[in-house]
Amino acid sequence: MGKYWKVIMIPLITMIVFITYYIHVQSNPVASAQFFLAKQSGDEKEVEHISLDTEINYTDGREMVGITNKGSIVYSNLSIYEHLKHISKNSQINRLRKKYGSFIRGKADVGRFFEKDDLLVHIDDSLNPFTDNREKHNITVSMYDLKTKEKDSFEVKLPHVDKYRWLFLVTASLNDNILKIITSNEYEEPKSHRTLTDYVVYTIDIDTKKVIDAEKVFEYTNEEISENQYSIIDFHTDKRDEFSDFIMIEERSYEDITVESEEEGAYNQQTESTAALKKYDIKANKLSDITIPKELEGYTFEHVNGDVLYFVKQAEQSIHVVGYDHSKNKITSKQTFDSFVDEYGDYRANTIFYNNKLYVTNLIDESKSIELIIEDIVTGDTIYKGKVEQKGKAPVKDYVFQNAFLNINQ
Amino acid sequence: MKNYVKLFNFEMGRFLKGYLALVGITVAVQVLGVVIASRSYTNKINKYVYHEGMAIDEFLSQFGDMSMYAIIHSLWIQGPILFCISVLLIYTLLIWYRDWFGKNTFIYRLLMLPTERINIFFAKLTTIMVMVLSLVALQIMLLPVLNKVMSSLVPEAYFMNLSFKEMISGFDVLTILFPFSFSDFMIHYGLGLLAVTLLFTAILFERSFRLKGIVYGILYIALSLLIIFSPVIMIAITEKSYLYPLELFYLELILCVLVFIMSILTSRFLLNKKITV
Repeated sequence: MGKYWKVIMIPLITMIVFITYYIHVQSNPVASAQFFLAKQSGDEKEVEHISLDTEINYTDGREMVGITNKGSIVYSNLSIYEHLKHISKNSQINRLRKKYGSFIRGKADVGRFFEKDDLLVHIDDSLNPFTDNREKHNITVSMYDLKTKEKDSFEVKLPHVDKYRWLFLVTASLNDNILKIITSNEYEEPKSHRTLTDYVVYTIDIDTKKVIDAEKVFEYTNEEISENQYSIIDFHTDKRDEFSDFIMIEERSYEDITVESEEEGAYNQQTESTAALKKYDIKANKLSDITIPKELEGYTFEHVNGDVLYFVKQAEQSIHVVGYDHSKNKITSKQTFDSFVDEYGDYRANTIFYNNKLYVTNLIDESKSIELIIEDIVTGDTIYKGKVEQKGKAPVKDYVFQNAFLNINQ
Repeated sequence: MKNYVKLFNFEMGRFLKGYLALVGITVAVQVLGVVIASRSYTNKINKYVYHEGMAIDEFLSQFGDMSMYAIIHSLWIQGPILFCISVLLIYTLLIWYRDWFGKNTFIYRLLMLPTERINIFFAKLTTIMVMVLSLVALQIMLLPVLNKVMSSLVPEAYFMNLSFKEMISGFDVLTILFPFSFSDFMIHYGLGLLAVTLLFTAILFERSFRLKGIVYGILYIALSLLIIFSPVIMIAITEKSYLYPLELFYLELILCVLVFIMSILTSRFLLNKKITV
């Protein structure tokens, strides 16, 4: 036995060291602070699927964390397995996987899903972006009817797409077996080298699996209005993961203005406002201008719920949200929420609309604290108010949150 | 089993001196490094605080406090670790070639032993893995000791006591050598075991077919890597993943185990049927 001491002692000591090491690591899980979203008022259920992803800068380092109402995850501390488990937490995909099973396989990372009752349609436009091969301007449509258990998949070649260098799926609608796909098709004008975008509706007959119509509904030229002013086009639909019967086309203008301040002198600030708004009724194939009331000048269009359009304006210490019913040309609601003040005394806030709720946070740039307010925009009620706080034995003092993002649909 | 243990003990014995030398170098250099760095820091304290009358706060704001974090980035700590890694990598090749090219052609005796030849393979493989893991364990034991040495040399007001985790977070190689989660430990060293196994099989190809064997060995490693990475290659080609992230993880795990078994079986075949002296 004595002559085998090498093969007994060395592995034995090694094993004891590793066992002790992992017991020690497990019993002292995180040296860094545990942040969590603490409720101040309202319903805790409102933040169950919310994560605040942010970078925390300490005096001697930084780390990326995801903060929820239960605690924080330091991403660099996750094991490979835990990391994979974490990235699999997409609630939309998980819900669709439960409902539609293997149909989701291979489609989760490409294209988009549209759901209508028990019918799920996946439109894959992933072959299109940035391709030089014009032959590839095809779209794959896959359908699964849960009631009849019928699955179908077909590829359609989009007509008249030779000049486009990039096609992007905006939304789709499905009525009476007629699928309408709206795409934004970008191209460069050869002479002026300006970038132009055509918004085209492709009508596909599901029965024959062919494109029966392609109509350009709107055209936009991407150019600067003046040296310190430019505009962009944005789209809004009322249903994020479902077919839409209309889309709102917004032209938003940005202007750099110089602000004079007694304390800081002159500094540049960017303002944004909705310059023009159109509604395209996909079913009726009709594009109409929306008249924005004069009192909404300087507001930005952020959200649509049926005929009611929601406009937002950030004043110095408050956020104004106005609901406007465009079918009745009538302002339906006016709500004002307090904004946040940061440690520098500046008022700042970020607004996100999701499912007729307004999420107001102070997640811009740097901040010593993160606050969250959730408002029901239909009733105007504040349904949640919370703040990121620390728990645990050793809270840290010197830190600042930087570049935070609010993930609502985890 | 008994023959395997005998061979393992024999292989351990053959490298024991080299192994102990690595242990000695690591301990000596790292302790010396901590002593020198601590002395240099205390000399600064003597010069500025005791002789020139600088306030402690001013000294700390100018030079910072002393902790293991300061030395973990230096060659005193990193040097021995990288040296041990290099020696063990070279020994992974030498463990086979010394049997052919050593003073006596020892491989004759090894292959003539009345035991399954694959035991030679397992003994060598276990030796390399035990050497690697025991040196990593040594480093795990050494870091808190170095921290204690430093704390005894630097006055308390100037010393910042770091947790083990804080110490190793300062050096990326350490986080690979001793990851915080046990599952990552299994993955890291499982991949290490697989890499050594593949290299051993490639060496056996070379020893079996000589010049042609080098090509076979390279092709064998390429084929193994192709098998392991085939799911990822498929995703890159089709631009679609038919597997969800966790499924992909489990598939990769299965493929690694399959490649490991394939390597053992190939090595067994080469040792039994093709190896020449």
